[in-house]
Amino acid sequence: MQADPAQNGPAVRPPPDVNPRSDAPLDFPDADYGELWNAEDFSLYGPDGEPRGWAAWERPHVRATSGRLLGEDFTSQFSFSDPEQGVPRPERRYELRMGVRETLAPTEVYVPRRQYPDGLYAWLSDGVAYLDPGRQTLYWYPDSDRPGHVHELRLEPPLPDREALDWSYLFRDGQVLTGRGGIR
Amino acid sequence: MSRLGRGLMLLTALSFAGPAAAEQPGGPRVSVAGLFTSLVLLRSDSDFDPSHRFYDRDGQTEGQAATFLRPDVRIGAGRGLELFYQAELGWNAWSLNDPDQWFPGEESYFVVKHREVWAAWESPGGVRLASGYQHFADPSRLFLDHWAGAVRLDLGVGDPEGGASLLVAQLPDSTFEGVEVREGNFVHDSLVLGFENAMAPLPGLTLDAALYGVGDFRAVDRPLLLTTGLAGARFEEGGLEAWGHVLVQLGSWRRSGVAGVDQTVAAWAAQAGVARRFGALDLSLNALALSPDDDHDGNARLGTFFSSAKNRSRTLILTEDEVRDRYDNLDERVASRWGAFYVGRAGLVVADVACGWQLAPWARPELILGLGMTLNPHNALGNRLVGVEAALRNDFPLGGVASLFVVGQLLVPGGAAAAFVNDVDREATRTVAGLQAGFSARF
Repeated sequence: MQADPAQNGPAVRPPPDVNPRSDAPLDFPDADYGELWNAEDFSLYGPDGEPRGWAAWERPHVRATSGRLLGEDFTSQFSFSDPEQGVPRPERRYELRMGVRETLAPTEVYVPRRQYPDGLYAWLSDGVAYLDPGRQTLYWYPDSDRPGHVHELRLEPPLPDREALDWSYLFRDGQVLTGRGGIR
Repeated sequence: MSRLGRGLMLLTALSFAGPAAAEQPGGPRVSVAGLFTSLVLLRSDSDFDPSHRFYDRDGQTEGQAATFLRPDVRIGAGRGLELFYQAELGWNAWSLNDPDQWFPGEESYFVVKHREVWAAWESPGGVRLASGYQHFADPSRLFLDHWAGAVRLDLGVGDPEGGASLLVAQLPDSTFEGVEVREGNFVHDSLVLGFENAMAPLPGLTLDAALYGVGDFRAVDRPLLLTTGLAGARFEEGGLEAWGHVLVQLGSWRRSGVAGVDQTVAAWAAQAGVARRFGALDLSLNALALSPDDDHDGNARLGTFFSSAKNRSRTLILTEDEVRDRYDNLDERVASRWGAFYVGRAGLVVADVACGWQLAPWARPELILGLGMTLNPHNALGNRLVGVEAALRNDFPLGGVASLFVVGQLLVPGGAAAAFVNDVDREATRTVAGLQAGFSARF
């Protein structure tokens, strides 16, 4: 983009009255012309009221932790990673690491239904977990009090190209399976 | 010195203390017994879906050749004192465990376990006290069938009218309390207290009554307290054997439910069976049931029976294969573990029938048929059938001390098994065929 000497900054062309591709009247934000001021469209919702780019922003995250939060990570569908021989590329994988439990109150993780329409597997380092589908919230009650212990939680969707091994829970369609990974 | 080395040295030392089962006037009487098995196992698949997938670690045939030896040494030291030691060498897979591997930290190191080490003293009046690592089980085996450190007091040993037993055991737990004695206590342990009574009002008939308490304090602030009552009977006379037991389990699990509510445990289990010999024919029937939880995980009531995953079923895939436990039986795979117990929220019913025929002194084929079902399909993704199993076992005795065996296996898995076992497609129910053959010796 060329600099506009008068504005001493990037030149922004005024949008036309109609989209030249479709001849439809522009109704901002527009997929081609964005939000007018920078030609980029970061709107969460489009003119049709439908969510846009939700895979990037509608992601699991922790709301409250029972111990010190050491880290959380979510690999969205848009994430790129170099493939590794024999290792499934993470997809919609959420990981949480937490320091020693400091309260009996649960760790609460927001689990968007939109990311896990076919249910989800949960792996727990310890403790029990319950999913409230209505609130889209996973309640995790860790129970290890071992000094220095790092509590770990991992969530993944069922995917047809890989195995889910030794999971603790499978939540699907309001049903709960407790797996070989065990509750402890 | 390695664990294997110490175990073998102990065995050797005990074995040379005197000839096996030979009485030595004035000295200890040593007897050595054991079980040896070498076998090969082949199966068409393990997860009911043989299709090959890019990331699939299973999905193919499974097979292994392995050797297992369980020697035990019993020392009668005189004046009522008895010492017992049992080891297990194996399961050692020929493709993995290397007898030439010298480093114990390697995965290929020869597997050896010390299973039982206990001493017992028995008075002339029939009172027996045993202490140490030992095996204990309830009469049905459904709740308790474990190896652990325990003290057991038996009253009325050898009394034809029955006897009673007191048991105190500490189950191995995962709560780290330190290695040194001063770092450990009994605050976060898993303890068992049991009282068993057996009465024999009629010849061959034994009436069982038992009460067990488990205090599982491993999870800090979330103790599990279980009380399990057992009542039943056993009968054995001539060629007829029959058994039946009912177990009721009540307890509480503090702060284990949703929002930290206490869960009240109200569960049950039952088992009944009969075995009859008709000349050269043996026929046995057995059925067992473990209660399920309701549809709502984490509510104030927990209906799941905490079980040992042991029983009297003759099935080889639906339940444990008594030739050798490989920890892949379906009753364990459709459940999860809580400490020393298995918890299956879908519940389980397994019924089986076995028919053996002594065809010749050197041949005994036996057909085993089994059926497994869940009691609450909601907790198995809506599926009721765990599987139908058929096995044809052929034993060829060799001199009364050893035998060759060949077992053909077939499992038609149901949706309930697929929901738990298949790790990709939770609806895969491809039939599994298997063959097991080996050489076994008892001495």
